[in-house]
Amino acid sequence: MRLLPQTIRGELALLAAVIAVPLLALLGYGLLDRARGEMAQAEAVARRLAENSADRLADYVATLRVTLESVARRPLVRAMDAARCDPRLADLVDLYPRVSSFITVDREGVILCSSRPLPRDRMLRIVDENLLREMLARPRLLVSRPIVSRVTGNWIVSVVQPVTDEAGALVGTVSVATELASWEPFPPPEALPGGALITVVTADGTIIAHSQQAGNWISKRLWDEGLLGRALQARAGVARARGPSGVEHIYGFKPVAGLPWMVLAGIPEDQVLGPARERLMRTVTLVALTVALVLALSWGIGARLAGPVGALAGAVRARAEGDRDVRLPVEGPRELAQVAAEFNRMAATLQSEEARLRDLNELSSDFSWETDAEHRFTQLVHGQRFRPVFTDRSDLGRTRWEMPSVAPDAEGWKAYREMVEARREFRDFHFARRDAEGRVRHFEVSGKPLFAEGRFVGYRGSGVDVTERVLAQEELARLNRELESRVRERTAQLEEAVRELEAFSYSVSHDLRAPVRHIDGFLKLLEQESPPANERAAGYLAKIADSSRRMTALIEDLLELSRSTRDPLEIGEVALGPLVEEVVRSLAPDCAGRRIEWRIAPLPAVLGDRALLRVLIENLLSNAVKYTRGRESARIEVGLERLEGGDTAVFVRDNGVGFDMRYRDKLFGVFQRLHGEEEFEGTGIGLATARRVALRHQARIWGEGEPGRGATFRFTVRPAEGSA
Amino acid sequence: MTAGRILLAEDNANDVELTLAALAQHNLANQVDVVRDGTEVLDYLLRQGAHAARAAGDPVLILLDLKMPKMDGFDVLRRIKSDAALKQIPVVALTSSRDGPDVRQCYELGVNAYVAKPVKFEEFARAVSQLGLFWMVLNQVPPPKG
Repeated sequence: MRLLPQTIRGELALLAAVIAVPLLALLGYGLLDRARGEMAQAEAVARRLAENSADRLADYVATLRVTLESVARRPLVRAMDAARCDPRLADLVDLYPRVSSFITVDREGVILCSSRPLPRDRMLRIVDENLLREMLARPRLLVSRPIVSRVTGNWIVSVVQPVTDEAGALVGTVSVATELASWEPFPPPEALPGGALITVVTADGTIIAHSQQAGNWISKRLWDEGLLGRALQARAGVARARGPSGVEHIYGFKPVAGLPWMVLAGIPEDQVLGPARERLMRTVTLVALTVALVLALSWGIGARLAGPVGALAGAVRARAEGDRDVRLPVEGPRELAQVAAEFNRMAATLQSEEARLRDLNELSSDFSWETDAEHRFTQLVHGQRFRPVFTDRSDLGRTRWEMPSVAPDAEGWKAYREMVEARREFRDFHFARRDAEGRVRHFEVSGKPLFAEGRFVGYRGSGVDVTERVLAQEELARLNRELESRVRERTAQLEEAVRELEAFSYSVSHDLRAPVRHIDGFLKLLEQESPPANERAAGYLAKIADSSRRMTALIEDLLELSRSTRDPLEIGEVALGPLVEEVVRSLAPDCAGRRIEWRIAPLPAVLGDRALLRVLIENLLSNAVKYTRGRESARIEVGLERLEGGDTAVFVRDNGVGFDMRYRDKLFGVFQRLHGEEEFEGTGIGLATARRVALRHQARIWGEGEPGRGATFRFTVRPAEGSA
Repeated sequence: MTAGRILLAEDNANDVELTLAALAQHNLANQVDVVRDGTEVLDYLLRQGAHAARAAGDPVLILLDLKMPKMDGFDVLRRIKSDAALKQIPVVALTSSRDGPDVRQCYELGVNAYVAKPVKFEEFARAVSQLGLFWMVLNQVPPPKG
């Protein structure tokens, strides 16, 4: 179970209390114990005082008795004759200073003799008739109640001794009166503890002796009936009661042996407990001071803690409420100073994070927005670069679809509404509206639903002004359309050009060949008609024939180049092995009379146009045949290679004259020749045609060579499915 | 009726002369009638226009140049092969070109043979003579109706 939430001060006070209370209890117990001991001691003293006084009284009375007994036996006393008083009586008074007088009284109670002179004019009787009757009834030593002396007029107590004659018959009494006012049947004052008060009372509660101002108290009733009752009941012991002055006293009481008297010895409680009380007061003061000090200290510590803690709480609250600049003074206890420093650091980090977020947000978007759970705008914050659509905040409190807009259409807004009502996150929702000047502005907004403790509370998002982009896109689309129409136009022009080219090559194939053919034909006819006149004429005729032949070859090659470019591709599976064999066979006329070693590796089926591939291979192989012509033993290899990039290539390698790699760029150009025509005939079109074929197959073709060491040409192929 | 005539349709005089020279080497030249364009081919075959006076009878062979003015070889071929009376006549296309489309088109139109004129005269002469001999001598033409 948890205690009520406490403040730091409260906790500290509680701590102080927790420490102080047992201490106080211990201290209090010690003090109480000590007080109790002192009280017990005081009680003992009181009792002892009472006992002591009672013993003294008993002794006093016993002494008087002995004296009275001896007096009673004196013959003059027995005589009971007022005329013949015993002179000793007067002497006795001197022995007993507190005794007023010794008197003898006859059976009728008439005072006969007195140690002090009696009033002359009248005959005195004793005051206490009851005592006389009692004496007559049963003669014995008796003590009177306090009475006013007939002799002195003072309060006295008489001790009465019967006087008998020789036969033992009662003849009178001899008594001694003790002046109560001056009677001090107490221990000497120096033996009494300070403030002690000793009182002697009779059994009926009349005071007969009092240690202070006896005159005021003699013959009065005891001031406290309860005390009297208790004393009489307990016979001996202690009790607490008020003293005559109303102050609490500890009383010891003791009956006087053989007499109906009781001694009460009282010690004022403050006398006993005074030092204890003083100690208590001192201690209490000290403790109170200590506790106050501790409380003050804890209060101070609490204040020292609570101040900064309160400041921290305040700062945190202020931060939570959006005050970004709030900082705490780094002071107070080290731990709190550390907390303050950490808080400052956190606040600074938060501030820079927020600034970063704000900057990023501002840079990446033009405005941010928030809505409530009903999708009404609660906040619209524009970035610095953003030119707001409207300067007033008329959008606040409205939903997005309630704003006047030009796009999307009702269907689009319905979809948007469904989306946000399903609380889905969305990106780049496009809408357009007119600004104050009536221009259409385009926006894209993105939003995220917000939940607080699982409850949907609205959306937060950002928005970008995409007007320029939209305009650019529209412009782009327009340009695209323009471009397309231009492309169509150009395509038509190109197609026209291609058609013209075809017509050109057609006319080349027909019209250019015809004259050449005619030259050759008529040359032959001329030779048949009339043989050349001489050897020089024959040489001219031969040159004409050769030229026409070369012209024909040129035309054929050009046509083939044109066809390799123009003819539609018919891609299919082409078995390379048979194709190569076919080409080799067709080259047989060129190989006549030569020793050529053909090394043809098994070749796969590939994807390609058979006719074009044949042209390609024909060109490569005829080149190989041609350029190995000088070799006594020519070797031509055809094989398959796997290239590093994973492609497959067919190579044609010969040991012919080769070529200089410096000129490899020129190998595949039209009319490019690396050898003189005198050395090797040719049109310089063959490899150009091969390259065209390769290009149309999206294949690569390249050559490597070294002068005098042969050449290798490679072209990549696409093996057909399932072909090795 | 002149039996076994060859009709040579050729607009180029040099080609006509060379062709005739080649045929002459096999003594076929005197059996050749020459026309210069496509319309004339039809006139000859249908005996109309300039050829209205020609003796009746189809040629045993038409050597047809594809490239001619007015009406080219393709049109002529189309007409001949779509005419029930004329489509029996063997037509050999003679052309300078070996271009694929020409060859294919000719065969689609029902040409009986296609010969690219070899540049070398010897070969040309050999080819023309063999054609003439083949169609003149060896090929059995269905007997004329009626």
